[in-house]
Amino acid sequence: MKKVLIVEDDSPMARALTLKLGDAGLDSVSAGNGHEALEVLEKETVDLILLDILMPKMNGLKFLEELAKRDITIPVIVTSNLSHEDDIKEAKRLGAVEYFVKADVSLNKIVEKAQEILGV
Amino acid sequence: MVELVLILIIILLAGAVVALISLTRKLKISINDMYVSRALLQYSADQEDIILKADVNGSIISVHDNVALIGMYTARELIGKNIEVLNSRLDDGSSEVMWNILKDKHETYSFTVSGKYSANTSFFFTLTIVPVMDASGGIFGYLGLHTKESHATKPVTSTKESDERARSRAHAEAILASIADGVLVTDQHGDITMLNQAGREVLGISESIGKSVIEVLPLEDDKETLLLPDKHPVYQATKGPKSVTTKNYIYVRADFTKLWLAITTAPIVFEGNVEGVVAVLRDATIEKQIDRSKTEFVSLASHQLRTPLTAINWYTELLLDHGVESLSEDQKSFVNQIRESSGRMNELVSSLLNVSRLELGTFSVDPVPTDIGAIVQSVLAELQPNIAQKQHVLTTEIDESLDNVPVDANLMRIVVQNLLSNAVKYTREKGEVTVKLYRHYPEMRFEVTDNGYGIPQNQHDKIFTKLFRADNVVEENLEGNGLGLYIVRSILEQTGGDVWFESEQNVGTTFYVSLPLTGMQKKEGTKTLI
Repeated sequence: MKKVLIVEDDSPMARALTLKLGDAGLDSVSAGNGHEALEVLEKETVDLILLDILMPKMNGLKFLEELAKRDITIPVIVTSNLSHEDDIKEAKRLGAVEYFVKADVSLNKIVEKAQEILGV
Repeated sequence: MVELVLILIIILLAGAVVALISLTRKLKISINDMYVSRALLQYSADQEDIILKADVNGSIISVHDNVALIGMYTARELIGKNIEVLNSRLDDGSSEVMWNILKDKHETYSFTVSGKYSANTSFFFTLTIVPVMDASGGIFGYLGLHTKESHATKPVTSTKESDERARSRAHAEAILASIADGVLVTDQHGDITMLNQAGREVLGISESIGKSVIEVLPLEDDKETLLLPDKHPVYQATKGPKSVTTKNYIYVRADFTKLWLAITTAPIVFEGNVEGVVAVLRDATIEKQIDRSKTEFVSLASHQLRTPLTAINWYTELLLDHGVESLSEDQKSFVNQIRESSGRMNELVSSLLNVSRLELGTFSVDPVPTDIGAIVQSVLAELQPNIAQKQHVLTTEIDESLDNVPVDANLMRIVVQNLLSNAVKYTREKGEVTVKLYRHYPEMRFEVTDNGYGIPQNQHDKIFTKLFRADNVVEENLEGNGLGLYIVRSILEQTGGDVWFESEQNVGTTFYVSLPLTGMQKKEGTKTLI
C-alpha cells in the first residue's frame, strides 16, 4: 500500500486528508511541521508528500529546501491557503509538482492528483 | 468755422443713424415708430449684445435665444418678471436709484449679474439697462445689454460700484487666505497668479507668483513617475475640458519628503474662455495611510478566513461521502446548502484578496506568451454546468491565432472569468451569450454580449465602483459581491488595457476588453503580506 506523508499544522485539515486518502485506499502518516516531517522521513518510507506552507518551526518552503539538500526526490503536492503568485512560483521552483489553494479545491481533487502521481 | 461745425454735426448724425438702424434691426421694430434715447446712442450696436427687452413698466417681454440663465432665472422664467428682479442690490435702495436714473434722467443703469449662455459655462457680466424713448419723448420700453467690460460706458453708480468692487475683492482675498486647504490660481498659460498661505505651507514654498505651475508643483502618479506637462492636472485644466476633477497625486517637497495631495482643479471660465485655473490642494497623506491600513487588514482577515472555510468545505464533502446511506434526503440537502454557502463565502474572500492586492500594488504582472483563446475556452468549460442549467445559447467567435500574446495568464483569466460569469448570471433562462475574441489592430479585443437584465441607464457611471451592485439585479435577488467589475477594471488599468460597455436595461449588455497586441506591461510585485 502506497503511503502519503501529510505535513500540516492544522489538525482538522490533517484529519480530513487522512480520512479521504484512507477512503481511496492510501495509507498516511502525519507531521505538524517541516521539522517533524524530516524526522518521519528518517524512519519511514513514503511515496508522496502533501505539504502545507505556513507552519511553525519549519515552514513548507524551508522543508522543500531541506529535501533538496538531502537529495530526497519524493514528489510533493503543496496544499496551502497562500494564493500569491510569488508563493506558487517559489514552491514550484523548489520542486513541488503541484500547488493547490486549499480553500479552492475539494479533497477529491487532491486525492485524484495523488493517485495520478502514484499511478494507482 | 460754421462749415466745420456743420460737417461735425452731419458726421455725428450719420453715426447715430447707423447705430440706430443696427439696433432697431435687432429689436425688430420699425425705425419710424421710435426715437432712441441719447443714452442708447452711446452704444455701438455692433459691439453690444441686446439680451432682453422690457415694456414701459419694466416687465420683461423677450430674452435673447442664446441666453440660458440670468441670475437664478431661466430665459422662460424671466418673461413677465420685472427687470428689477435681476438687480441683487435692491435691498440697499438701488431699486429706487435705478428707476430714478432710468425714468427721470433717461440714462443707463448698470449692475453685475451671473449668467449662462446656451452650451456655455456660467460667468459674471455687466447688465446695462437702457431706456428707449418714443417720438413724444416718453419711455416706451427698456433694453438689457450685455456690456463688455473693455468699452462699458461710465456706470451711473460708478463711485459706489468701484468701492464695492474693491471691497468685494479684498473680502474674497481674505476668504481665500483663511481657507485651511491650499488654493492655487493660475492664468491661462499655467503661470501662478495666487497661492494662499495654506497652499504655501502644504507645498513648503514661499515664492511662487509668476512661475509655471509645472515648476512649482511637480507631481508624481501612484507609480512614482513624474508627470510631464501633458499629464499635469493643473496645467491640463488650462487646456480644457471645462470640467471639475479631483485626483490624488504624490508631491515631492524641496527636501525630498513626499506627500499625497488631493488636487481638485476647475477652469476659470469668463465669457466662454478659459482664463485660468483654480486648484484646491489638500494633504491626503493620512487618508492614504488609513486606506492602506484598511486594505492590509482586509487582506489579513480574508486570509485568516480561508482556514475555517477550508475545514467547512472539506468536512461537508466527507459528510456527504460517508453519509451516502445514513443521511436522509433532507439532511443531504442541508449539507449541500452549507457547502454552497461556504463556496460563495470563499469566492468573496478570494475577491477581497484580489482587491487588496490590486489596491496595495502587491501583485506582479508577469507577461508570458499565452493562448488567450484557450483561457476563454477553459473558463467556458468551467461555466458549462451553469450555462446548461440556465439553458443559455452560447455562441463563440474566437480568433485562434491569438495564441501567443504576452499576458499574465492568471490576471487574464480573472478578467475573462468575471465577465463571462456575469453574462451567464445576469441573463434570464434561455438567454443568449456571445463571446468574441478578435484582432482590432493594434489591439486584441475580447467581447461578451448577453441579452440579459442590462444595467440601468442612471447607474452606468457607477458600475465599476467597488461593492456597487445595480438596483435591478439586487431586486432580482441575484447573488454577487460587487467586486468583479472593479477587479476587472483595476487589472486592466494597471496592465495597459481598457474595459467599457454598452447596455440597455432589459435588452442586454456588451462588455469590451482591449489589450495591446504587444501584451500587458510587466510589473514586479512588492509582496509585503501573506
